[in-house]
Amino acid sequence: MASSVEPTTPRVMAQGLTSASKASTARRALRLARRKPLGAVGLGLLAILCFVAAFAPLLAPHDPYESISGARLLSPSFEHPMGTDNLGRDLLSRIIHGARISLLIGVFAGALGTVGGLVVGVVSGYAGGWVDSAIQRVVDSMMAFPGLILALTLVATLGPNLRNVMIAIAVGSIPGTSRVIRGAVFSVKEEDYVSAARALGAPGWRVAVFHIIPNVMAPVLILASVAFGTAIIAEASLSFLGLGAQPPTPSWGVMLSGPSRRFMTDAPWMAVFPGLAISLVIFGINIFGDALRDVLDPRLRG
Amino acid sequence: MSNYWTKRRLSRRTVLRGSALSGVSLLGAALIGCGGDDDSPSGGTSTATGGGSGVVTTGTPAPSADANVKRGGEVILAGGDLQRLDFQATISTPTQNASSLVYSRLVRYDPYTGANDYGIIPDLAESWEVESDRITFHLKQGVKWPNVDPVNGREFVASDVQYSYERVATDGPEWVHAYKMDPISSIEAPDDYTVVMNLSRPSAGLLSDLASGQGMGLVPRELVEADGDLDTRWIGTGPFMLDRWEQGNRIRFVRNPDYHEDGYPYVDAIEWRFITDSSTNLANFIAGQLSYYALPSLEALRQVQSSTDAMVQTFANLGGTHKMFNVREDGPNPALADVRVRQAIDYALNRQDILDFVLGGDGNIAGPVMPVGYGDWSLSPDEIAELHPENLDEARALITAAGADGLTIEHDYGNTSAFSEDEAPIMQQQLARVGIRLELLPRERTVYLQAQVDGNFSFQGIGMGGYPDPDNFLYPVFHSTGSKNYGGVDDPELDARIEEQQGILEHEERVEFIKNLDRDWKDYLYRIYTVYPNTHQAWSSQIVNPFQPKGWDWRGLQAVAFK
Repeated sequence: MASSVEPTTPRVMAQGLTSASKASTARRALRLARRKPLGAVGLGLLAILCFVAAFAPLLAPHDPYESISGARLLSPSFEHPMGTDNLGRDLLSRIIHGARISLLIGVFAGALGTVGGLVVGVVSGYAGGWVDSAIQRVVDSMMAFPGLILALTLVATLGPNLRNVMIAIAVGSIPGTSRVIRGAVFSVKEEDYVSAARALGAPGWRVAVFHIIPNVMAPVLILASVAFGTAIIAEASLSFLGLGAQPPTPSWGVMLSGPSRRFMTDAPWMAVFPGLAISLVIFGINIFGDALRDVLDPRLRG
Repeated sequence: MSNYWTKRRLSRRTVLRGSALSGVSLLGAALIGCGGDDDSPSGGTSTATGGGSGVVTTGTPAPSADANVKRGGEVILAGGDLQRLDFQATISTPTQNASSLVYSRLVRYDPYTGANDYGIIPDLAESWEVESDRITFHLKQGVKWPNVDPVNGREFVASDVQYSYERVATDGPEWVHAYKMDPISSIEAPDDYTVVMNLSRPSAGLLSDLASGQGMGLVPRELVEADGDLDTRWIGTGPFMLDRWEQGNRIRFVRNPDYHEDGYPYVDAIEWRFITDSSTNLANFIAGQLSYYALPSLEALRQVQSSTDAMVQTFANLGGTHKMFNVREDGPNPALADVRVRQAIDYALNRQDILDFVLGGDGNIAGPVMPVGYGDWSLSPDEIAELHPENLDEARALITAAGADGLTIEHDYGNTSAFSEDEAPIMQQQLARVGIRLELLPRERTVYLQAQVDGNFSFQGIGMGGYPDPDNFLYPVFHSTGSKNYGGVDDPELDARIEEQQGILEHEERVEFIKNLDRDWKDYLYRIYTVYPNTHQAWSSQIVNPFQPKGWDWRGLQAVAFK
């Protein structure tokens, strides 16, 4: 009997643990949502953005590029809930497809900027000495430029397209991110477990990767959420200035630029709905980021 | 579906009717401005070319001033700043427009003929004879330069004309209007009141070029010799004198008491404020701060009509954005050297959709070189529609025949052009239907212009103004030696036809020749013309004798007065 029970026991126990863990996670998430309702709203808005972006072709009632005959500058109606633009294109469909671009930019530029900042910050903070000084002088010089100006310069140099916009936004966010992470690394590297790892002979890279980085993840996650929102706004700003996504790409920034300004008095919906989409997503990201900070930052825990 | 826009949009029929009536409405607006008095300043006009070789053509004298018109007041306009004052050495439009108030020419356009009718009336020449090998001008006698140093009120004479046009014809890149002097082999002044221009070739468009406000003003030799150029002072025989030019702020003119057309000008001063922002100008016009406003859009037109009792004039715009091919065999896209590919693109376009989407129906469809509304020179809208129909099957067949299936074309345009920004995506959709992929490349203006000059483009949107003579739409652009032949056109047959029309002095014969060239344009198609917008301009309801500025000539302001 014992031999027939023994092989199944760990699996049963594991299943039991998993179920208990799932239930516990769900309960914790629910508790968290109750405690941070705004954060839950933010997460909900982000979830909607992801859903809309993922299923854009299925959700959009029209081709976002198609000019519909006789549909120029139609005000919002049942057929076109957000109206049409000056080229007879359905605005709802363009905003739905625009979510893909915003998500793409937010995720890739945000991730690239955060990872870049993490690497620079950890190397600078952990190495210290002249390496830190050298890196920080470069960071200082980059921070002398406002982020958008830096991104504008890079896009103007590299050429206006979405890939270059992502690179420019990411590079523009590296200095600020790295400065925060460097500070976190300074405090973590003095911890006993880091000293213990060093004393056991762990090489520097191992200490950084396995002991420093995991313990600075709280600020990294918060910075990532900020970078996500900043990237979306930066893309909209660059596109608005004609240096981001190019027409006829249905980017929210492109939709806010040229034609919507020209037709502001006759067709305000051309500017209102893309503006609303940007505002909602940024609002969602900000309140989610705030909640994340409250949860992850030990100093802010009740 | 009914909504704000569709309730108000203009149908094509309405627009065409509006265009057809524009000439009438323009004149009507002028008469309305006259308050019922028969004080229209318009006199009879002659066309630029009338009569064949050796036939005398004389302009009708300009009308005399009306003693009953109220005098005084100051007309306020808005526009861009001048690049420099020396109008003979710049193409700056504000410079040309402003100089037309100070400097007279031999002949000028009648500002009160129908829209886009460049009828010519006398200015400093009271009559002229056009022949195949020369034009002889007989000057008005007793015309004085202003009584200021260095001209000190001396009489205007034939040698002034000789000097002015020899200066325009100076060799060098600065002398941007020299090409207009190309047909002239020499200028003689047999006496003080006669100017003879000997021609190296017959030139049907020369008289019209001389009437243009672009670089053709007559200047005194003493002024240029004293100052070195015209950048310091302006001294002319026009209706106004330059009072002050405050760069970045305004330019102001005051009445010339010695003006040679008695009784003019009616107003005391003209001020051009350097404001180019259209919304600011719209607000200023609605607030009564401007006497004139060139409406940039239908939306602005609606606001003016709903907020003011301004006089609005509508006419076909001869300027627009052409689509220029680079047809060089070794160009970036050699497929475009094949006329069948260009024809396929032409067939794939639905011009009515472009007109509706891009201009809200407020304009005319195009196709041939000469725009609709261009006086006698235009084909009718119906004929244009027949010559340039949408035919997707034909387009696909032509692409296949040319071996260009799967063709990709880069379409670049200046990123500040609102028209191209709207038109390009529509063309992209339309060409996709026949398997042509149009890549849109909005370019920063200097990059775009450099690509144009270098011939480093495939298919470029290029803005062109309207011109008084049809030769301006042909020779500079399509002749193998033309100064604006950026697309590398080198077609001996077309060269010959362009040269031939230059030599036809008989107006009707030339009109028919140009129309036949337009009918055959499908065999050339070095540029594609899709649509032209309408132009709307508004004059304050307080203004009498509103006019249509044309050919860089604002001399009509001499007859403008306040009620």
